[in-house]
Amino acid sequence: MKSIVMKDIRKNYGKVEVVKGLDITVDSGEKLILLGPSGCGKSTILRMIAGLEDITSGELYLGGQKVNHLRSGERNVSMVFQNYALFPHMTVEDNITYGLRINKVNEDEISRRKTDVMKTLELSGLEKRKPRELSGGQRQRVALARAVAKQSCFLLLDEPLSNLDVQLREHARKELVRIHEKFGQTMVYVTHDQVEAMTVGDRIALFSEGKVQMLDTPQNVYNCPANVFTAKFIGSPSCNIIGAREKNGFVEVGNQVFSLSAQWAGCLRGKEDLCLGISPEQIELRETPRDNAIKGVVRYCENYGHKTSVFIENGGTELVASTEESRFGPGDVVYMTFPQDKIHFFDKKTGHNVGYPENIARSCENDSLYKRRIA
Amino acid sequence: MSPDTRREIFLHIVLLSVLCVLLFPLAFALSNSFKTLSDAYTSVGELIPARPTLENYIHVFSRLDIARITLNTLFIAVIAAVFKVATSVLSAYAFTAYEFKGKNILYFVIISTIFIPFNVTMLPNYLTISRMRLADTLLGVALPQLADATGIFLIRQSMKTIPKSIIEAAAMENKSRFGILRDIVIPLIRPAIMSVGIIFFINSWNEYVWPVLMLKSRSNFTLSLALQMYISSEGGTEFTVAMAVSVLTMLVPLGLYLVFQKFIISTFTSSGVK
Amino acid sequence: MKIGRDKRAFLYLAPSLAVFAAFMFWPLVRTFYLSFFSWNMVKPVKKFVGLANYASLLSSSLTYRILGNTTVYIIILLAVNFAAPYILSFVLSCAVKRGKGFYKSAYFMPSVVSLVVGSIVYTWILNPVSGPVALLLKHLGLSIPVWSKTDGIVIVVLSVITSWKIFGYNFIVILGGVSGVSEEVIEAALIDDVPLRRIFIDIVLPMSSATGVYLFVMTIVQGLQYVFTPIKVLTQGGPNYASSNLIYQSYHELFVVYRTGPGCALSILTLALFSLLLFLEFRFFEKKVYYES
Repeated sequence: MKSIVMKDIRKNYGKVEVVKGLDITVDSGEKLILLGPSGCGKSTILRMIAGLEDITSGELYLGGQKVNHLRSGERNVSMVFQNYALFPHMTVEDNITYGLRINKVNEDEISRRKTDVMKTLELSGLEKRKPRELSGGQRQRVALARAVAKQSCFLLLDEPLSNLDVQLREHARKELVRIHEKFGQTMVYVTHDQVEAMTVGDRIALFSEGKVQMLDTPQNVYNCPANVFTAKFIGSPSCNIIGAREKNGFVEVGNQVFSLSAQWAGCLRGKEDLCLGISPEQIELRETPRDNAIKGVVRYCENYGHKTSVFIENGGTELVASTEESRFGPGDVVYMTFPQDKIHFFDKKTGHNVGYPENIARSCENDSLYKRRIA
Repeated sequence: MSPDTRREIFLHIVLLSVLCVLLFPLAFALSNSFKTLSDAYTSVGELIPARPTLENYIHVFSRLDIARITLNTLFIAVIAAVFKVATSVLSAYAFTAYEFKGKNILYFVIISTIFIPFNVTMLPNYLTISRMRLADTLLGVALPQLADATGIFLIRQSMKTIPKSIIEAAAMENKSRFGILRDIVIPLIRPAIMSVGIIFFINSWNEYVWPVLMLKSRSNFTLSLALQMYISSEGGTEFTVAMAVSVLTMLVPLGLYLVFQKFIISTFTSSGVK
Repeated sequence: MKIGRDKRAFLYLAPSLAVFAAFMFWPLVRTFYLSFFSWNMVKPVKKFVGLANYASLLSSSLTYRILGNTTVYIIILLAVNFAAPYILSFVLSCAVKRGKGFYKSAYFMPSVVSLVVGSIVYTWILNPVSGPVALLLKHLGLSIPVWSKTDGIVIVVLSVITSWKIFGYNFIVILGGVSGVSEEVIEAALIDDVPLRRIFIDIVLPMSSATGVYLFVMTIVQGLQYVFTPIKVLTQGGPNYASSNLIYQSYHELFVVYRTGPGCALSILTLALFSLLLFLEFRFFEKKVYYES
């Protein structure tokens, strides 16, 4: 009903292709996150959906209707801009109601919606203020209120929280989810912040250089990254990617080896050039030798209070491990183990995930949480 | 074709029509300066002359001391531009880098003079210049043009864009304030200074009021005054010659503009926003 | 950038202050002074007449004619050089995707050309018998009047000539203000299906009002002074003062008929008018917070 369908959407600026063939379906009521580093084309995609940017080729359907040639105003979308784009000379209530008045919504309805969104977003009492008299968080809420008051089927957000400081951002994030639960629009949300992506999104489309690197639920993006780019982008500190060779059920890491489970060994058979991926927080650190552990020397530690990142050198390779303990110091010898169900292997040339043994793969494919939410 | 594209084409037609109206006089002058007088009457619509001739220009160079006239104009314009740029830079620096009592009021008073029409200062300046025995001299034309606050305003605007930290870094190295102006501020805002200078030069080149008040003898005439000799409201009899003089008059400002348009336009773009 | 607090600033200011004192402030005082005297510029004695010059100005019907003409000039100049560029710059910055730079620099070209050139070229373009416009109109069965001898139209033509010069300049200045309105804000309105006309009136006008008011005032102040050149070159205020404005008329009194008293009084009157405009502009800036960054 309120789905967004993109079929082979492309965008060129002159000869430069910034969006390279996009096929995404956003289900009705879904929250899709467009995530990626700056300049990856994610904002361009949002602006193409909004009708603020021409689509070079491909087809865009909103609620089943092809909208390539519809003006922005005819698409029934609402948008929250990065810098909020409030009308600086209008009061808060005028900002919220201006578009409704222009579109001749009747006055009772306007005032009902206004009161409703202002209450929901805790803006009551600020009706007569001008944007410059508001705090950053209040401005952000006014921008959201304006978009919500339109009651359109599609809510587009372009890095809406990036101008807020950390504490406010957390609050605003929760509020966004709450608003979405109340109004149920189909939501496309652009961000470069992985925490926002993980917490807000039903699904994440991770972009790099105009292409989708991975499109899946937050859990899957984290647990089963489709490629090296995804593995490195998600998580902080980012995932360790080390050159590795599989030989007779053993993996060489630096100058040492550890043995793989039989399932892994079967899965990797015949695959030559590989990279091993392991998240820092999945590495188990010990001070004493143990079975199947790799020895390394601590070079440097970063203490975050609740956890410590330990940078470990091992035969020319550097790995980072996160631990809740802070007893390690430079020069310490440590022993690392890599849990078999937490490691990933990628093809060295293509960067693609080579797959998982069946016992692990099942958990990646069925993300019941997402299916339940969308159904 | 989408409605947006159609609208854009329509708007381009509007914008281009405006452009034609604005540029037609220039084309008209250029075209007729290469026509004989009789051709100019008989083939008015012909923008590219069918039988181009140089006779108007030959006439200008043989009958009119055009070199002298041009040099007179140039002399006044250079004096006005150089002096105004120098004083404007110094004053703008005083208003930007220094704090002194009455600064804001003084700045306000000086900038307000932009609103004083020339008829207010016309007579006293005429009398002053006469008393200085500079009536009917080129210097006498240049002097009243020097009291112009636009340069102070434009250059100060551009000085204000220099980050404070750059100046502070220089001050910490124990640079004198004049040294900061010479070695840091001026190089940083060189484009603005240059375009203000060119704007002054062009304005003075085109100046009509002060030359017409001050100059009597033909040997001191500027291009504007020479051109005026060919005018009556019906157009005068040496119309094509007048067009040749017109072309020569606008050649220098247009040339300067075409070369420096980027700077000039960006200077004016920021001038409205105070 | 602030690095000092002292009187040495005046060393930098001295050259400017000297020329301003000699050619701006002193003349201002002197014109004011001379407006209370009867003089002809050559007589050794000036006769003090008090407010007589002003009184005679205010009782003369010619003054009201000049004021009327000035008003007409102001209206035409504002329509052509304020309203039109305002709308056009909005069109260019919001509704047109290609050619912005081109239009900007091409429109400005006439602004660097002398108004004497403009005057002489336009007398031919608008020549009622053999000019291109007359010939074009002839095809349509129309004709142009002898404008330099026709009340009313003469002001229109002189304003057109002046507009030719200031249009491009004004266009660039107002475009600077209009394109200062953040693109996101315009887009926010576009998403809500606000028609362009309403975007202009409800959003762009208020948000660019600082530049707008500045240009409004400058169009009047500069425009009336610029018109002086075509008037002086082409009509000398005629026919029968039909094309004279405040500025030209004071020139006429001062340098054509040598009556410095009324001439100076007229100049002061002009100044009063302009000061009022300046005052209005500053009031505007004080009262209204403007939204340009």
